[in-house]
Amino acid sequence: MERRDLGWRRVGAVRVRLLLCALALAALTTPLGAIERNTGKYGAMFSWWYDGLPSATLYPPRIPWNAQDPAWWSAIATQARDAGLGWLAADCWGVDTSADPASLTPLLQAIERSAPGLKIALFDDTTSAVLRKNRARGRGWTLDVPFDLSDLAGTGEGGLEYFYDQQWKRFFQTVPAARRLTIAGRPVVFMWHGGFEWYTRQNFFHGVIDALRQATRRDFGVDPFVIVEESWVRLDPAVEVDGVYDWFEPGRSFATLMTRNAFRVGHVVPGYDCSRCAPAGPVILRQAGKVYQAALEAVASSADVVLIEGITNVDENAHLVETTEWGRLYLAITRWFASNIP
Amino acid sequence: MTTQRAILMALAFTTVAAPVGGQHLVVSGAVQRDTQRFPDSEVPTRLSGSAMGWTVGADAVLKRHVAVSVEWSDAGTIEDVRSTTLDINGRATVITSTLRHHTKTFAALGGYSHMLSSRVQVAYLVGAAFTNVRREFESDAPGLVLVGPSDPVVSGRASLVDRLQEVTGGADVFVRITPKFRLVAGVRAQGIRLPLDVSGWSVVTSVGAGWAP
Repeated sequence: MERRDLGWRRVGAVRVRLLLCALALAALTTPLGAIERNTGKYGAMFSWWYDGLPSATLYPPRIPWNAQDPAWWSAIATQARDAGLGWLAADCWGVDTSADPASLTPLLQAIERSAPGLKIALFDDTTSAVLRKNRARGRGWTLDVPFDLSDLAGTGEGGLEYFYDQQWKRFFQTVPAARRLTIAGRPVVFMWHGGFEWYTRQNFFHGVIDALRQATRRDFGVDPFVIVEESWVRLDPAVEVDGVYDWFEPGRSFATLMTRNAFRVGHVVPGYDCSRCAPAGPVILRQAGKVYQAALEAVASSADVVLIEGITNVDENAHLVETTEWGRLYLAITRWFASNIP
Repeated sequence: MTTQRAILMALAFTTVAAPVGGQHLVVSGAVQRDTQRFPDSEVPTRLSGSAMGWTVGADAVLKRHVAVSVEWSDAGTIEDVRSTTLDINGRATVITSTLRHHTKTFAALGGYSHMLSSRVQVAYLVGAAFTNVRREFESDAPGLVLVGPSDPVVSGRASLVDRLQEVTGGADVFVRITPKFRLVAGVRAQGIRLPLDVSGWSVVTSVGAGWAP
């Protein structure tokens, strides 16, 4: 009798162990919760330096194209809402430019009027830091003299002020916390990278990022969620950023998906035509929306955020807004994905 | 959640609506066909279609003409498969994607019932439907579109579930074959509103058998 009891107890103990193992395995294999955003997954690049339609524009938007007119801002916010976009990435060029983040107030007002759920991320168009540094040194608006990333004090050919005081700080001063795109409660900043030849001591990029984080924490009490173009990480593997994206490249890619720290950033373009740019550039044919659809199908299911170039980029014919050529097709495609793969 | 709610409601209903005096109760099961339509805009919704499913329910008549009903239905899966050919860097590429959606509904209804003849009873019903819509998207685009440094072997699959509360209405016909056995046919119509603002409707026809305890 006692032997039988002992046997049952052993079986019971084995069952408990098996149960605990199963629970542990389940806990380990359960995917982590989705990364918390304060709005939808899809966002688009936003530029606002227009006082008319650029001569390179092949597909004119239906609305009068003039950012001096409050109606333009309302129309863009409305079309962003209609496309199901959760956020816009303001393509900022810094102080004393036509894309100064301090000039985003009309966007805030348009969002208030027409698209209350829409959030804003800072897109630091880093080329501008090189240009502004050279302008400040009296060389004009040129990329000819590279930016020294190790020179945070700005005593030579660098300076944190070109990234922070003239760009990030002005964005955070202008866009209130409630209007910022956040991931895990942290405001999102994208950083572009246009050409390694524009910088020297590129392996000091981590120092720039560290200093930018420190300054943003000091002045605004927030730790930015920094997402950089993947070439920055190749140039300085020591850099600590929260995400990376790979900017599209005509002839190579119109959709990309990059993972860093288990955070996935998709990037897509609906088409691109710089044939009338100066100098003339490459083309990605839209193929009646098929390219955009294929791009979103490729990245939407896996991405935590999708950065679309762009809602207003008429300069390079990469825009989504309603035009006489395609009507609201690209807004509708975006909305389909925002609805079915949110 | 909807399943638990359905079971609890059904249990409560069958307890309350047990045949006493002039009351009648029919417990039934049926096969059904769900037809859903969602108007397209510049882009097809890919949600319109039909599917076969099944339903179970309990219907009661209280005080001669007051009909009450609870039902649970699994409307099956509507599938939309599309292929598109596009030029990717000079090569013709075919991308195939599938959008499936599966609808399940628990509904509680009430209305008016009357005898059409000595063997045929009709009930006109309106009530609340608690609908669960699961959408699944699948595409082979990642492997065909993404190139390094992107990861081309990522999943092209995604799914999401929406829980909706809608008004539903319709009619049931019960044909008495034997004192305990009924032939049951029904029709239901309800709206379906999915985020962001995809609106459509569903019409379900069903035919099955009922048992009157």
